Amino acid sequence: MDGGKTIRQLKKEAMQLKIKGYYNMRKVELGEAISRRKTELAKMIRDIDNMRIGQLRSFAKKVGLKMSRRATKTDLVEAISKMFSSWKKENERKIPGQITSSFSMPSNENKETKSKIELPKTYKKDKLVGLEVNPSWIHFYWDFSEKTKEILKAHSSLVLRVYDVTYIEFNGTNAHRTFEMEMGISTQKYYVQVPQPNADYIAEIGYKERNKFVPLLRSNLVTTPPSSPKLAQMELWMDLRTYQRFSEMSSGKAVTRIERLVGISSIPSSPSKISGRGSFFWLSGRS
Amino acid sequence: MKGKLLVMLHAHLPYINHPDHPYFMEENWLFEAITETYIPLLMAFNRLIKDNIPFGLSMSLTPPLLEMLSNQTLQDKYRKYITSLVDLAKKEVEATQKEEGLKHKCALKYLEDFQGTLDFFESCKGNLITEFKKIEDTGSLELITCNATHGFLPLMKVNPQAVHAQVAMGTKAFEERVQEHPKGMWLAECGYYPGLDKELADQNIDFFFVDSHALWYADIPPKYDVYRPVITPNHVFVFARDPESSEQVWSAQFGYPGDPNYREFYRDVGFDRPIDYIKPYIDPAGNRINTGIKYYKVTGNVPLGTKELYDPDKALETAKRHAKDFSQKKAEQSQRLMNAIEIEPVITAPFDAELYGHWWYEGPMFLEFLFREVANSNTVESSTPHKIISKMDSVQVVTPAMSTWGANGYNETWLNGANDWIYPHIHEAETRMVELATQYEDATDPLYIRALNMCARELMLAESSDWAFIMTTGTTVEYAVNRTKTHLSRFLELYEAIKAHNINERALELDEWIDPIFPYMNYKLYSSN
Repeated sequence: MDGGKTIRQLKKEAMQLKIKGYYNMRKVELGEAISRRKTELAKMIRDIDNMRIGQLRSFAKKVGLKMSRRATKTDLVEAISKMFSSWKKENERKIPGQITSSFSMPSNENKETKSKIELPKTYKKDKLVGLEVNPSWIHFYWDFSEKTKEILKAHSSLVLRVYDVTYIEFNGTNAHRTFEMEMGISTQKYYVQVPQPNADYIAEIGYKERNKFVPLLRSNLVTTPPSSPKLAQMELWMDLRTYQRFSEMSSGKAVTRIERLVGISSIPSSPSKISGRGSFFWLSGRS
Repeated sequence: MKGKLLVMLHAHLPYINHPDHPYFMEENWLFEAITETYIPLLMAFNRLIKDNIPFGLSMSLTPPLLEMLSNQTLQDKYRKYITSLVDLAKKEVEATQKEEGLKHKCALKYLEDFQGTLDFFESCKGNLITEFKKIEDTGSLELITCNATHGFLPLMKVNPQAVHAQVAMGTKAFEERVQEHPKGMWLAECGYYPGLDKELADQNIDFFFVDSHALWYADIPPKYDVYRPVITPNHVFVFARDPESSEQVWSAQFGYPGDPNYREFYRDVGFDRPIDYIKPYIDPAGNRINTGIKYYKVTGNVPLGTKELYDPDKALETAKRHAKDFSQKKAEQSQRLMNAIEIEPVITAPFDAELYGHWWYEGPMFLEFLFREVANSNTVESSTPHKIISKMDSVQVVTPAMSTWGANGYNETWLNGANDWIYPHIHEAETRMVELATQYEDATDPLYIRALNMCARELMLAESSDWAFIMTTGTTVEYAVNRTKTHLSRFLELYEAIKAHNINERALELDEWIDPIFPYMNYKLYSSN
């Protein structure tokens, strides 16, 4: 991070940035302390446009800028932004310079591992979304507008209906099968086990009034993935020289496949599972 | 007639770049992968080429990986990392002089290897992408891309425009960074659903990969099972995974990496040496981490404390033996399949690239030996997707079934109690992104264009399947949760700012500096017009 600067230059910079104890630091430590300080300040710059002149003055002082007493707000903002841009350049194009093999200074910097960020609890929109988990499970989540919430105030529970609409243009009443679940009014998501792989489902959420279901929202169409082979039938082929398609009667399976049955040890954290994916993460840390 | 072995290495890491921190532990994932996987693979390919060994394979370099490999700050940090490792290896050579002979032998080997890695990195000026491309130019390697940030498309299909943007940006990123059009695309987590082939066809993608059951449960049973490519209704070729190959390599009981002679992953000097000695080489905050110097072998099913010392020569012999074994198995399988289907079988063997080298330390050597063995076989040869496709006269038209290569084959790794909270937010952000892009499709104000592009970047970063995956597996969960929340909240902030015509240029500048992925981002990909 030192961009090939000498230790004297670094000390001067650290002094301007008011880094405590810079005088006794080694070169590496100086480089890191400066870089950390700059990052802190760079984050403060987000609010620069809303700062009052007094705040701007003290900010300028912090970044080691000497400004005239007569400097206006615009002067200050300009000078500080210029300074910030030059740091950014340093960071982007810094010459590897003297590579040091040591990161020796223990840093207590907070890497924000504990997330303090809060995402909205609701987007205040009417929404019912279905996502297939696997051939026999569907996940539903939902959100309500203020208006819908108002309607629901009069009710103590939510009702989720799931319709099997495979090969049907659903009109609300023509489903093959209808399933129903009742749940607490503040529930926001649910996993539903459905009877058929490779089938189409639609859900509605609403409430019950005198034993009659009143739907409020309808979901997208959810298709559960298939989990077994189709029967042999006509095959479709394409000639790759002419791009002509042609059909052929299926001649049956040439390769006999031995299928596996799922047994035990489906624990996802086992590092030896055969699934092709992602051991990198589980192995990166000692858990 | 010869069977075709198609090895497909999926090289991917999530985008982890913290220019605002001089040291960030998770950035080490990239550095470890460069040291243990990418450079060793490149060196192995170069040796094969030098020795005139014919070989073929395909490799995906995902856009986040391409972006990280091209990033100057990360390259500089890598130099510092590998230089520090060389330094540690020197100290280890000294320290092990008074210890067991095997340890000292290992230390000398590490010093030589790390120095070689550093030299390699310097000789190509840190530009590993160009090195991969050089191998590709020989015809032995076919590089392919992935959807933009490795977003999990089966759970994105409720927002088709977001899927479109992922596929289009995945193509664009490859064109920008590799300077060629990608012929194939690896779909994140092998996640496929019927209809996705249309998006791929629209980007002129010729082929992609699926797990076996995508063909087993397809709309029409495939005549040759998973042993010949098929084509989708929108004319994209499909290669399906051979279950035998994966099992032979990775089976917990019989797989190769568990051999007692191979290096043990979990015994590392980062944990074994006294803290004062190792301090300069671990997390500056004092947390012990894996350094990459390991002296013990798998040994057997024994506690970590009783592992025996690793012998690099024995491990090498073992890798050779395993390569020979695998090659024989592939030859036998080819013969068996040729007898059954009377046409050249294609055995597709996709793997996470990082498992070779990072997890299975001897993996890159195994691959090199494998290609050498296969080159001498009369019944099987290694090949590349395009070479295979170009020799086909006809192809079966099939719609593959919805499937992934995750545990149990569907979506539960990316949708379960540990991570389902992310989808309401991600889907909402996708909806809002489409709204913004459609509303501002003709924006000319550079500030608005920058803000809109930044929105698209934050959204795509939040969409990475890696975060949901990490939440499921339970390691470094806080980092994944934090990344998801950070990108989503930056997105929401920017969205509000654009809608209120109150874009804070300095805040935007900071975001652009912190998340500089895809400088060529084009938010209009999200427009619904």
